[in-house]
This record gives sequence, C-alpha cells and structure tokens, in this order.
Amino acid sequence: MPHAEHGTSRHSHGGPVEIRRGVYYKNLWLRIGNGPADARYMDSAIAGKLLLVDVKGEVKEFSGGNVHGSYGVNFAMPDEGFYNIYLVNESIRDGLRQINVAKSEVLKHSCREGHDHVKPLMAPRQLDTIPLEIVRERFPAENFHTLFGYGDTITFLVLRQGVPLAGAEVTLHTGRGWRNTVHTDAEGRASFMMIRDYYPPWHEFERRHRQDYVVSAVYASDASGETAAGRYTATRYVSTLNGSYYPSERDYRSYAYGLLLGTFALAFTGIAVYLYRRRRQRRFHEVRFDEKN
Amino acid sequence: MKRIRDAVNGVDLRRFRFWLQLFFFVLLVYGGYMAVNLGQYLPTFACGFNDEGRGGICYLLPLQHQLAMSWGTLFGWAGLMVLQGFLFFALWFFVLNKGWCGYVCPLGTIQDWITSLRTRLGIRYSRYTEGQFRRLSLIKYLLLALMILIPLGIGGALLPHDMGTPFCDICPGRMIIPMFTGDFSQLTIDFSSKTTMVMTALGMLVTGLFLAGAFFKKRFFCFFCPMSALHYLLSKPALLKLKKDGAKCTRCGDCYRVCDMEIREIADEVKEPRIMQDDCILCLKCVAHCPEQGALKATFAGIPIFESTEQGFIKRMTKGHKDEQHHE
Repeated sequence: MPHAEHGTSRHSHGGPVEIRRGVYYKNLWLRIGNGPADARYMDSAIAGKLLLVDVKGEVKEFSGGNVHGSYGVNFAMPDEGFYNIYLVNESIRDGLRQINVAKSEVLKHSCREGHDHVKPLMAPRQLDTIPLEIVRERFPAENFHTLFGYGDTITFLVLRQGVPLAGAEVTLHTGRGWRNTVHTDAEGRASFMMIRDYYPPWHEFERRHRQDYVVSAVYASDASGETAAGRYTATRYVSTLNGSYYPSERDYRSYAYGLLLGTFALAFTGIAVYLYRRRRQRRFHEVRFDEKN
Repeated sequence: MKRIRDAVNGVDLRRFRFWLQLFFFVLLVYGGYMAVNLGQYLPTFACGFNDEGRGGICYLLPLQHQLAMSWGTLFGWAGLMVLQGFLFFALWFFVLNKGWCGYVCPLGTIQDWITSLRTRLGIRYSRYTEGQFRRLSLIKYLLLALMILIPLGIGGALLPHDMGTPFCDICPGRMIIPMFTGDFSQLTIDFSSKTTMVMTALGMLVTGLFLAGAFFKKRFFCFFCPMSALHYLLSKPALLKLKKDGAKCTRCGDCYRVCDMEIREIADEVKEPRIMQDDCILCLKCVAHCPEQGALKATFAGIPIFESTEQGFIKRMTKGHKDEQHHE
C-alpha cells in the first residue's frame, strides 16, 4: 500500500512533492497492514519489481530504497498528468503462489501550467502485463481539481492481465477502519459509495481534510504450474490501489442561510429605497394669506 | 466613405449595444459549451466559478491566486509568471479600453437588463448627490488595494488561506453568473471555517444589495468595481478613446443626463480633450446623445469611429416618434 505523506517540502495538486531545479519529485512509501488505520511503514526493502508508467505511457523499471527513514521510492514527475507506480511481489509457499500488486496513481499538476491541456490527460491508464490491476474510473467531468466527497460513488475496474475480471472480491478500507466488500460485475466493475469518516468538533472542521482509502481486489486461480521459485498448484492474486477523499460540500454549505441573507439584503435595500423616496416626497401645500391680517 | 461615416454616426446605439452585449454575454457565459476558451486573463467579469459554461476567465481570479503564493515563490521566478499574466491582461485591455465594461462585461449586461426591467415597470431611477458620488467613487480603489494586499498577506502567512480570493468571495458575479448555466451552488454559506463563513455571508449580502441596487441605480455595482479601477490605471495608452472638443460644446448637459455613471465632467469639462474618467464604461451613450457636430467622439488608434452629429442626434431622438406616427 503506497503512501504519500511522510516528510515533504511542497504541496501541489496530487499531494506533497519536492521540487529540485524546477522538477517535481514524489516520495512514496510502502505500508503493510489491513488498511490505512493500522498499516505500518516498512523498514527494509521488499522483494519485487517496481514499475513506473509516466504520463506518455512509457514503462520504466526502477528500484526503491530508504526514503527519509522508511522503505519507499522517489521519482521525477517532469510532465503534467498521472503517473502509475506498481510494486509486483511474487512468492510460493506450500504450493500456493501468491502474487501481490501494490499500485498508486499519482497526479502532478500545478495551476501555473494552465488548465487547457487537462482533458486528454484525464483518462486512466492500465498496464496489461500486471497480473491483477485496479483502475479507478473517472467521473464524467473530472479534472485535476476534482475532489471526491462523502456520498460520491467511485467505480473501480479490476483487470486480469489487462482483461476485465468478473467475480473478483473487492474491498474498500477507509481511514478509520470501515470496510465494504463487493464483487465485480460481468464487466469487471465494482462501485462504492464513500461514507462519512470524519467527525471533528465544529471549530476544528477542515473542508480539505484528506481521508485515505485503500481498495483491494482478490482473485484465486486453481491453475497449476512452475516458476523459477518452484511448483505451485494454485495462485492467489491480491492487488491494492490507494486514494483519498474529502468532506462533502453538503456537510458545510447551507443554501438556507445563503438565501436567507441574500433575500434579507435585497428586501432591506428595496424597502430602504422605497421609504427614503416616500420621506422625500413633498405634498403640495397651499398657503393662503388673509389680506386683512 | 462619407455615407458609411454618416451611417455609423447615425446608428441606433441602443439597439447596437443590446445585440453586442448579448453576443458577448453568450460568448463568455455559455462559450464553454461551444469549446470557446479565451484564456484566464480577460479584463472583464467572465466568472471562473461558472465552471462549464465560461468562455474565458476574469483576470482577477488568477491574479488573486498568484498573489497568494508564498513570498519566496512570488518574488522569485514565479514573479515572471505573474508579470506575464498581467501583460496578457493589459494586451486584451488595450484593444477596447473601458469598452470592456460597457459592451462586454456580463455583470454589466445583467445590470442593464435589470435597468430595462425597471424602466418597463415605470419606476424612476435614483441618482447620487455630488458628495455621495465623490465618496462612493473611492470604494473601488479601496477594494482594489484590499484585493491585492489580502492575497499578499496570505502569501506571507499573515492571513488565513481561506481568504485566497477575497474579491471573488464577495463579488456578486460569483453568485449570479453561474446561475445562468443552472449552477446554484454558489448561493450558499460555507461553514467550514470562520473565515469562509464570514466571506460567503458577505458575498450573499452583496448579492442581495446588487440586485436591489441595480434595480434603482443604473450600473450600481460599477461604482465599486475594482476591475474598473484597475482599468483606469492602464487606460491612457489604450486604443479606444473618448474625446471631447470643448469649443463645440454648448454645455446643454444631455451627455450628463444620459450617463449611467453620472459623470459630471463629461458636460462640464471643456478644456481637456481626453474626457474619460475612472467611472466611465465607454458605453458611448454620451456621444449618441450629443447634438453638436464633432463635440464628442470615440477614436480607435486615433481614427474617429463614432462621433456626435446633428443628423445622428435627430435620427435617434425622432426614431420613436416616427414609429408612433407610423402606427397611428
């Protein structure tokens, strides 16, 4: 489960980054556990293949290491858009082949680069060589600034070697430990409505409070075979993808108060002008002088 | 050539302006649906909060964003980007000068429509006294100064980041313009922090004030518009200009009476040919209503494009009467 908050220097859309000579660098750390609530950082490297797919779709294999005290990766993000990072780990124990895929989708965006180029960069990408991959589908009008909130439904596509996989078990883990498990439909899709997971006192409420989630997909295969690590009679695939969501605007925005204030200002100004005009009206007043006086 | 010039000088400015304003309104409020994107440096209220429909973005939004960058960034290489943005804004502005206010601004157009509604209802309009006018005219400079200083204060960590776009928070355009594309989400109070609560409440109060004010007072909000103040600071080298030949002026006062912005100098000033004041929106109604040949004129790059003529004045003034006679 890659994680992206652990000693940073700058913030851009897509999370904190380091900037060296004008180029954005991202730090990601690997965490292991049952969800964001109890996952721990890794002290040492984990065997596996690290792949980076950049904005142009080029695939690079690279290695991780000690990043600010924990095992992680550091990579450059020279172009605007989404970068996919995969860690594929494989082992065989007691004839069971276990393939773990940790994926993270990282956005690099700075408003200084403008927003005209965003649309073609929004489409999610997949890597067909990945044994089991989770892809988050985009919202219809999603852009680099779109934040998901409570009540939004996020759809994930589960792919087995690039092909949609039906019947895979998909579990969403929220930051406080809530879980929900569903199975992918015939097109390999699984959807979750995000639940509220943030209950601070009113005065401590932050509308940009980031809540992490991890979605995992599990798929088992009975196919037997042999690899360099040995023979196996069954395979279990586990894939994870992390993300974040935010408080919903519905939680802190009020139409009632807004319209009340607007209507009050409108009515008050209208009545004030009306009364002002009435007060300044001078009725015709005839004064008669009696010549006798 | 003379016939073309006579035709232009005799144009029905009210109708011409209505259609041009409508064109720009559609372009800037619904242009996004037609893949129009004029960028983010427009010198007019093409509201950036109108997410889907906008055909461009008002420069004040990115300006406030940029000025709220940390001082280290702003006064470093990113400062060049701010200057570049300002340059684009200035280049747009130089073409039309304050004609952006009189012909292009969607919020100005909405005010003109509200004025038309009041006229049809037969309710008289309000005017300021000279003292009120002088005092109210200064508010836009105060707002401009705050609009620059508050984001700078945020960049220096002196003010909360929630005030990142202070003028947009209180600008009625943020609430009103997105409504034309069915987006009512700005009509809310944001309770996520004390700062946003105060700013959005102010925004709604200003919106109510705007709607009532624009009903009774022509171009009510333009007196307080910081964009107008920013325009005036750059207006001298602009291509479109309003000029007056004082020797031809009889001081009849027609120009002052038709001026939506109540600019007294347009009638009183007879020495200075560059007559445009900071509140002027270059609507050119003064030129259209001047009966003196060449006393008022609009020039583009020094070339007269529209000037007051006796024939044009008579044509415009008798148009309604002719129609009435025709109907009779």
